[in-house]
Amino acid sequence: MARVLIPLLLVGLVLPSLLIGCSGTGNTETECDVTTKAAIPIIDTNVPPTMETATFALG
Amino acid sequence: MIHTRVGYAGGSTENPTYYSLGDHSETIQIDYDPTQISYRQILDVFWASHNPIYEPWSRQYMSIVFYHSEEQKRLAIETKESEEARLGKHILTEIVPFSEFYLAEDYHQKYYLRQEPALMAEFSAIYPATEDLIASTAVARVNGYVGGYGKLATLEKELGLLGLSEAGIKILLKIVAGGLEPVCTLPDTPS
Repeated sequence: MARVLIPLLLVGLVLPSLLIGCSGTGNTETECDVTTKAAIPIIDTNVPPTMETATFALG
Repeated sequence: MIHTRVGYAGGSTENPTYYSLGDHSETIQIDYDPTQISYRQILDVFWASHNPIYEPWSRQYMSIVFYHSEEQKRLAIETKESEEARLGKHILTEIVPFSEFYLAEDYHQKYYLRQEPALMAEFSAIYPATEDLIASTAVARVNGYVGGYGKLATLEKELGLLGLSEAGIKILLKIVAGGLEPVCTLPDTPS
């Protein structure tokens, strides 16, 4: 049972803290940066797969 | 348009800069979705956006189509011939294979957007690194709108996708609706 629980605990405790930007200091305390980062624009998450490139010099 | 960037191309000087351009020309590079806009339509904008019948002051200001495929080459030649027939004059635009593009300095990228500090600040918060700013479709599109391109109806459709705050949206709508002066006014481009 412990073999199953320990990885689950690690995923449950360590991963969320990484996601909210916690960083261990090496001491008993842990500093967390919970500042909200600006969201990536939706349009930037949907880059079409059919992209082509054009290059011009126009004076 | 998916991405836009400005830089230098067409010469042999390695790692050119604005103040040490060598034999390169000022160049724009565009990534586009061919299912939304064709290369021919982009060429139409290219021919309409400048006057290629006059000898440029220097290679810095040359008119050049750098083709990335044989199809682009064919369309460039075809449309150049059409323009010459329409104008009844010889066009000096060179049509050459693309080889290398050097990004211009950060302060040249997204020039129009930089004239609207509130909007620029919003995108800089999302993309602190210029390389990420350049790779953003939202930034490319807002830069175009601020520059006086694009229609209000098009903007209204995609407003929620651009990542702007309520305040940023108000500023952009004002610019595009005509409440604020756009940075420049040039012929309208396809959306």
